[in-house]
Amino acid sequence: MKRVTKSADETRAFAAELARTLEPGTILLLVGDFGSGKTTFVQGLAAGLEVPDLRVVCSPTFVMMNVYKGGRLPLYHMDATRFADPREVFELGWEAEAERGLTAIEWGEKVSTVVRKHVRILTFEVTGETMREIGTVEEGRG
Amino acid sequence: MNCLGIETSCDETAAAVVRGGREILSSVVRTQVDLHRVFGGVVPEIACRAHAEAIGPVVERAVADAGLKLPDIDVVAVTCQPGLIGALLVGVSAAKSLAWALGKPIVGVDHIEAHLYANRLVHADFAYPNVGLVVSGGHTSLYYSRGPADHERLGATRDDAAGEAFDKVAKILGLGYPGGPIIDKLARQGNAKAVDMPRLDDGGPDFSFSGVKTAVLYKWKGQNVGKGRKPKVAVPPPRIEDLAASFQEAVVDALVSRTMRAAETRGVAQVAMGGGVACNSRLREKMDEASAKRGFKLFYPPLNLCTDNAAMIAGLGTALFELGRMSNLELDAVATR
Repeated sequence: MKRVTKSADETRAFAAELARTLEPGTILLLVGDFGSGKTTFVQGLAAGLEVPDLRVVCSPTFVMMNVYKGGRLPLYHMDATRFADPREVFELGWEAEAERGLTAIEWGEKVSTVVRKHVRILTFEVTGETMREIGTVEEGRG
Repeated sequence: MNCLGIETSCDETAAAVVRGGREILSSVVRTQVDLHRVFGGVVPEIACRAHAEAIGPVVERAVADAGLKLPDIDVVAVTCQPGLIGALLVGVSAAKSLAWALGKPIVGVDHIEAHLYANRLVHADFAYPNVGLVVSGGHTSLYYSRGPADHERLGATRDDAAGEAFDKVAKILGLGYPGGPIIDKLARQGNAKAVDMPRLDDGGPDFSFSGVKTAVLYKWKGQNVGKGRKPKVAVPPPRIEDLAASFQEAVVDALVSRTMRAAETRGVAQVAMGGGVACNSRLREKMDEASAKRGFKLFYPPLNLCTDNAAMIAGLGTALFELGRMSNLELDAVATR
């Protein structure tokens, strides 16, 4: 499936729409370059889950993981860009809670060898100044 | 009163001794920047290991440089939030062990609030209330401060921290790590008006830097972006110096405008800056100009107290101790506030 969005707001709206349909335990691996809309997309996921304070949804690059609670599901927002080893993703204390929440991992390609269950890969491509093409690939379930 | 401060929230292992909350007796900082340079950012796993190796010698050195022995320490202060959880835990564990062994009180300190306290260590006329901006690799927050330990957060970034935007842009432009000093230097040879940058301002106190970062990506890689969408006329990318200068100007303008607006709204006489990005020469220049124009007195620490250090932790730790806001041996590290 491919979706073209023409602005950051459209990217957020698409993510919000998707978030309403996702089951607990889903892990989204977000794959795309700097500025391709990954964090913007997660802001939309949070909106779709009705996280109360959307202002707190920001880049997890520095702290590696942000957790947003108070919505339909807890949202675990990670950034894998600086993992020395993909297994570090399991050291953030999120795995045990993952099945009850929604997880979104930026630079998800870095952990795709170790995070395999309930995974959906989303690719982000910059196709214009504000235009993005978001593709989704369903991975092995169960 | 001698306070030993310990700081390990990111990639600097630091310890310092401050007397009376004002006088820096010693300040030792061991940076790990070379360990992380090859990765283009701080790698948590490497950071934790390096902290664990350095913490003992760094503390010993800070106490010795102060001309003291461990029993001369009256209180132990330590950064307990926010930061990389594994890195914070090294400092918190070391501080708890020391406090327990010495039978002295322990105080948990907020790293971001400590960045503002750095001004109090070096400026005798720094006073309250004031409006303070903390800008670093991990944080971009605006505060109204009623006292050294009484802060109200007015705004923060909605996406990337300012320093993070500098690092990411440096990576996009292939300039290396850390991005702040590299872009600062390069921008001096560029024209800040050469490249149009988005300047979003909703009139509120929050910041957003991902739009500027994306604009840099697009301007730099513009004609190569998107499969099969090559424009008919290839647009040459701007000069890298001009792009760096234009990006920096957009970030600096956003920081200055929000800070000035907050200071005017709150009716304060003093404005403060802290954090690693407060080392940026253009930010200092424009914040100086803007403050002078509006009659605000502006404070920022010297470079070595802008970047992560433990003197600011010991300073704020002393202030908290004097207010009776001690922690205990159950003190825990917290990654985000």
